[in-house]
Amino acid sequence: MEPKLTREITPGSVGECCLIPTPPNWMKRFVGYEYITAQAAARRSQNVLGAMACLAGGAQLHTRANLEAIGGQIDTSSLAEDTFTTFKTQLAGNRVVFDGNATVWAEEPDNIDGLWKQRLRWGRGNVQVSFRYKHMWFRPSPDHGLGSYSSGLFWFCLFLLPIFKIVASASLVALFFIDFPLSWAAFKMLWITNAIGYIFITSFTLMIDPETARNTWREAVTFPGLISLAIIHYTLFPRFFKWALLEVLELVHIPASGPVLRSIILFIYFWLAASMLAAWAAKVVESRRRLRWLSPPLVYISGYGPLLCAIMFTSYIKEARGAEMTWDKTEKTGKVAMP
Amino acid sequence: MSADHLLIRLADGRTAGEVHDEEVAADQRLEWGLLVKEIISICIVVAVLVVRHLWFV
Repeated sequence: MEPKLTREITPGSVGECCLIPTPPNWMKRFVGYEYITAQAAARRSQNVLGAMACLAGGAQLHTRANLEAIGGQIDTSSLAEDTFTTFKTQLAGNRVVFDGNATVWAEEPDNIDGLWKQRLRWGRGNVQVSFRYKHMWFRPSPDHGLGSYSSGLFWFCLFLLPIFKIVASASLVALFFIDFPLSWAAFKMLWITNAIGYIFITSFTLMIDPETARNTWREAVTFPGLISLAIIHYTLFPRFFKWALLEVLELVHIPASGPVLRSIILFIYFWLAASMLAAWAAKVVESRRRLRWLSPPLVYISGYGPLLCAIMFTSYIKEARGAEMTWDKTEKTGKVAMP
Repeated sequence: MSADHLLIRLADGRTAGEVHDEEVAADQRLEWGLLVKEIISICIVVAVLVVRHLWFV
């Protein structure tokens, strides 16, 4: 740890450190960008809300009094021991504080397989946390902030994101056949909201950590995937996009007739859910020696965000099936060097 | 951190207390900077929406 941690950690608190990996390959650049959003931005906002969802296990600092208060040992009965520790600390009435200005160096996965194992473990851990604390959600308490509505919204908006994507896609497709004008209005409202969120989050995140942003701006822009990015562009600049689309169709000699346009619209409606399938396909081809080269382009096309959603969805299935809890530890290669 | 710890002199000649104060001040400047950046991001969103409304719809 860097000398910044000479600062005082107040009694009963947990200090945490943001980890920004050196970004040598495309996957680490995605993870680097993701960590600015998930750590530097999200954890700061949770500091303000007074309810911390999770502090990374590799960067938690506990007082002795707090360790004793949460049972004298780390709860290893789940796959998310750090989330449980963070929750137990707050439920014991102690403060959990994210320190966005401290730095911890960590090695992160550099391929989809490594990321899949790591995030599947985290995802299954989150399912276990959601059920273990089922009586706490949306029940405000004077002793801690975890039961507040904002905390519950924060948790379940991320936890249920794959479900939201599938339901949104299914609803748009159903409306396409039942009431097309309504489906078109709903589509525009949904994607203009997505576009606003995308612009705000991307610009703010890149400004939070300019040093990491210099290495990861391409991954920041393509985080939702190139196809979703095209839909965002269409939502923001429909006149320009229509013109470009018609030009492209003419170039490839496809008539811009009703059936063709309706097929494109139906594809766009499907894409929210289908992007997770495409991201999963990137994992499948990575394990095939001859097709491995296809894996990174597939992630850039389908999106790193949908890849994370696909992993989360898999974690629901694994937990529902009661799959064995194996600790697939992130493989460390020792490639990371301190500057 | 006790008062004695704050008086420990580091290799560069500064005391631990001085280093601590400098770091806290730097962190506070950074946190204020984040608020400015957040406002800039909101301005970017508004600008894009205005441009969209004026020329691209």
